[in-house]
Amino acid sequence: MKAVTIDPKRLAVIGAIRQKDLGASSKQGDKILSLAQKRSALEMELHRLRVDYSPAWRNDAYNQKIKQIEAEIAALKQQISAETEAKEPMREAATASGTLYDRCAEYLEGLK
Amino acid sequence: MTKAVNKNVASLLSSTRSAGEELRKGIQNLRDHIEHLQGLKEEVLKRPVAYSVAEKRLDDWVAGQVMFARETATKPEAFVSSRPGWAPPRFPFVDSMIVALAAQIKQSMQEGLRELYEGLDWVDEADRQAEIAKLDQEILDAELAEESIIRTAEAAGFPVRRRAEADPRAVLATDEALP
Repeated sequence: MKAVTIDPKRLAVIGAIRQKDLGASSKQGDKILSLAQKRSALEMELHRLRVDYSPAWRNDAYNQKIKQIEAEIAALKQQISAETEAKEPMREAATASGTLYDRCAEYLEGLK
Repeated sequence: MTKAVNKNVASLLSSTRSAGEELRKGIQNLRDHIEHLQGLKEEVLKRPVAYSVAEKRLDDWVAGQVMFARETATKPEAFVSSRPGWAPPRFPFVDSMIVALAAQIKQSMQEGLRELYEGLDWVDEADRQAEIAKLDQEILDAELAEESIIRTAEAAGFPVRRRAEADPRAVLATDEALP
């Protein structure tokens, strides 16, 4: 088999790609977490409004507020679902570039 | 050929959006080719050994079985003792059968093996190694071509994902080592 000249510095290039992929995946994870926290806060607010206000006290403004929060929660749920779906290929890319980096590092180690 | 592709890819990337599609197709073709070659290699690795090798394995196996059986097979001497309270031999009858019928068993299995090999696509070990070496070289050449196109695309600002299972020799090769 013909020999291939190896440039050990190429590992740094692959490492940078891995870092970028990991960063993107992690950033997306943070984004999902932040949306989930917003949703939790709204759900708690909705719960509080329902518990604190007896039916006798509920007026149009109250009902409007409840509807608005419910709509916000539904929108957030949809957004979380879309962002989670978008995260999957990012996670796969990060795993793939991590695997490639590890294999390249192992190969270089074997050359020593 | 790869140099020509690289040149084309570089100029296309800077001028048209369809270059992205061209690039993806080019890389996908190479990846399909690599997968095909790896499949061929798997097939070569799975092909049965030469008949002579299988026959020798069979001979050795029968010889080993007979050798072990001889150690425990009941011998005629076991039946001649005049001692009071003689007891029948305790060793299994099957060992005696193996010793007695070894030649027939071997012949029968050899016949079965010969029949089996009439329909088998076997390969001699030297040929297998030569085929594998040839395929390994072709796979490496294809991987180097793939890496070359990826680097050209990267240089043109069009990053392409490498495969997790790409050959480290291609991924870590110097630019000069690429086609």
